[in-house]
Amino acid sequence: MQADQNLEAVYIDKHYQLVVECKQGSKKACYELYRLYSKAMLNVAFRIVGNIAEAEDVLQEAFLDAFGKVKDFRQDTTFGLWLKQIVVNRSINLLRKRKLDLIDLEGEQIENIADEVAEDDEEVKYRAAQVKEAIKELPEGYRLVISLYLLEGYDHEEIGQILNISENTSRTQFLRAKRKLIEILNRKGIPS
Amino acid sequence: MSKGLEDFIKVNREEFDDLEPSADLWGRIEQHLPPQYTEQQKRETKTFSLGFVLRVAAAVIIVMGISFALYLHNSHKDRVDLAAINPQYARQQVHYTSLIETKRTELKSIEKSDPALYKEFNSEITKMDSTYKQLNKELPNSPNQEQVLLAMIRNLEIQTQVLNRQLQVIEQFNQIKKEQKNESKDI
Repeated sequence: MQADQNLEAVYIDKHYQLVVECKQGSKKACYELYRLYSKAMLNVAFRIVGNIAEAEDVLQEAFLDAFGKVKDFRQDTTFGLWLKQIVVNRSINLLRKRKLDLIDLEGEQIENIADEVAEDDEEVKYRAAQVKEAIKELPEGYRLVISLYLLEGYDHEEIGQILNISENTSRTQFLRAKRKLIEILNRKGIPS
Repeated sequence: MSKGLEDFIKVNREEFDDLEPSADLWGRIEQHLPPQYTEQQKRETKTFSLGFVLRVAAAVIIVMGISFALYLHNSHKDRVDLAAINPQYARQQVHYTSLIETKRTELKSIEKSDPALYKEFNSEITKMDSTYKQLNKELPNSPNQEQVLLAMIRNLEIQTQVLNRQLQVIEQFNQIKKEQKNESKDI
């Protein structure tokens, strides 16, 4: 997953020029960037905050934040990744304000999960809509880790930094979350 | 751990981004954009006009430089060597000009005692002098420079005569005044 991100970072940002114009104060360039990234970023925010209205608020704030400090953006990564970081951080902050006790994640005992995860979902024919619905049903902490890892492409080290937990906790939480997710899918009658 | 779910999500990643931002979201963002964007058009024209102004300024400086050089060149050319046209006339021209200058300063001495008279006399001379200047201007491009130069000298000659007459009048006027004083004393 991190490799993906690195790959993306190494590639020249195809919207590099657009970002330069945005830095120079072109409103049109900003709108173009908004048009290109708003949808993906809204989905990122939604998966974290779990609420469309709040996700839109986060998106609005994140774009304004990004356009406000784009001058300091050195463009050593793509605008997309940079923006995503802002969106993720703002979403997490919103959760913190909502008093989701992320520290609870840390508090949980790290069990040896290795031997519990023998289920084989190899043959399962999933459907995106079902998986999405199942993710929504996860407890907030699980949803966060699953989304950040599987959908946003962060690795456990990065998730640890984002959520302010240890890399190991992230790993454990992810495995638990995934098990729970499969459980939900099973319960919904998706054959395993 | 099983990879089925993870692979499925990876392959179908795009299907997970199904939410669309509401249509008015950009409008809301636009309203709160930092000032550098709302003043964007002004700034763009400003920066544009700065470069434009510099270019115009450079062009103006070049044009001014060229015209100044041309002016210097021309005025140098304009200074016709009068001696080359007619040495005798040239000498006369110098003679009369200096004569007129002395007489005009002399005339100026009455400016304080009789400003109205001075004004009248001086305007006569100035009128003639402007004709002289006109001739002088025509001289370089004239097909018959000697003729023009002659006219100039005539002009100077007349100026001198007029000045002499004026000074005489002033002197007589002064004398009459003096005599009147003496007479009144005598009585």
